[in-house]
Amino acid sequence: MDFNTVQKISNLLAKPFARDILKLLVNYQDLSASEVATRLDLHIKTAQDFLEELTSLEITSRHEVYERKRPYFRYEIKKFQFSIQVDLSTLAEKTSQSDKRLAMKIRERKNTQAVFTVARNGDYLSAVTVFQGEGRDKKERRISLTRAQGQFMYYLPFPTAKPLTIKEIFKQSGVKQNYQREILDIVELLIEYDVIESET
Amino acid sequence: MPFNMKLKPNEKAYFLILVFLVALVAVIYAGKNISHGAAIGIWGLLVFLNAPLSLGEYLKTKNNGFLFAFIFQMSASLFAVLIIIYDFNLNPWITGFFIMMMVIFGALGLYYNFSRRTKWRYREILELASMPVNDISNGFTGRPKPVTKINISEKDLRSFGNYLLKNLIAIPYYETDRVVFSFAMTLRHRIGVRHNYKEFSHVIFEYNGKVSAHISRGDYQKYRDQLAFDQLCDSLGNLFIDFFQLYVSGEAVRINDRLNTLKLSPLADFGESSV
Repeated sequence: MDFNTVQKISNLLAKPFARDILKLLVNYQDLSASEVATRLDLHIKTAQDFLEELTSLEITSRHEVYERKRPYFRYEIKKFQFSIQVDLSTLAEKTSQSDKRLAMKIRERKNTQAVFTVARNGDYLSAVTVFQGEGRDKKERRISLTRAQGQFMYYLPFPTAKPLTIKEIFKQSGVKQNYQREILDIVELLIEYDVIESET
Repeated sequence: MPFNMKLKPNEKAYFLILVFLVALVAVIYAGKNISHGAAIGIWGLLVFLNAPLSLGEYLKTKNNGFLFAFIFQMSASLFAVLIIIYDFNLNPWITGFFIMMMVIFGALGLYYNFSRRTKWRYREILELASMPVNDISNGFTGRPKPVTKINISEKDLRSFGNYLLKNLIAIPYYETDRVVFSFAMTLRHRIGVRHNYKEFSHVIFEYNGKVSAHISRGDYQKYRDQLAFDQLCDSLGNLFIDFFQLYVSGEAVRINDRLNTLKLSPLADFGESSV
């Protein structure tokens, strides 16, 4: 089961009326959204959305019926049992020694508005605070860094210095290669916030 | 050898000298219109007010110049009080004693002052750090710059810190795994009642040998030009590494020689560090 499906199911099951609707579906042959809504005193749109989501996840199935000239759907339970299994490793960024991003040359951007907080004890940064917007709309976002990220950022070339590749900064800072994913993550985020400039 | 100074002139110092001159004229003018006793009393009070600052700087740095200044200030203010109490009929022996104290310690204080031994070397450090830097391109950043790694012994580093403090070159802060040489030389830092250094310029020597340097925005703006910031930080770090190596090789006197070659005025070329 992929992460998005797990999120959808969890979201549905977390709704306060989820148990009541599922109980109805299990005990009735089939039900319409209107029947569910009146039975549980819900808004018809709420009931319909819930049933549609269950159908898209293939927990229920629906069939169209006609009453006079107006068609509507009736829903019946399809899966009485399902298990939620999450594989977090699918979220891992794919990285390797040959990752092209390691060859990207970076340095701090000139006149960046970011504020760097140096850790109390040691040669690493503990946070970077970036600012977005202008004047009254200016918003501050503080990004706390892991020890490896802080150590890497401490060795980031200054705005007037020669840019270095990420691989070279890894070597200078002494950060181990197995922190590659989190380093690349913070570098990409800070490029997005105009704190770091890159040249490929 | 003439040096091309890269710092802007210290306007604050000229302003303070102007204030001093105006105050001097005011005292002379007032002296003609008030009694001698009142004039001596005001003078004694002014001198006395400076004494705690001299004592504070002496206790912080153990620099004898401040002790001499303190003894002079206390002698002068006590003498003024006694003159007023005894209505100018003071025992000649006591008068002689106080005059002797004032002459000796006043002269010593002036000698220490004009030989730059009681001059905080903040501006000299900024000048020396900028000497090898000629590239101009603004690139200020609030991060410290890792400079290099050298061989250091903790004992030497602590002893070096005490030397720098006594010679008013930097204020050391001893931490668990490093020594921070700070140029936070505000009055409160100098008398030891303020200890924060992070926002001010500083050089860090870690016991594992790593050296890094930081120059504050306020100090960077004291330069006439926008010098290449990375080179400036590197140069500041390397300057302190040179000082450390001179110190451990027993040539500490050369550190003061280097600072004195700039010939900055002990009166006008003082400066307070900025963040």
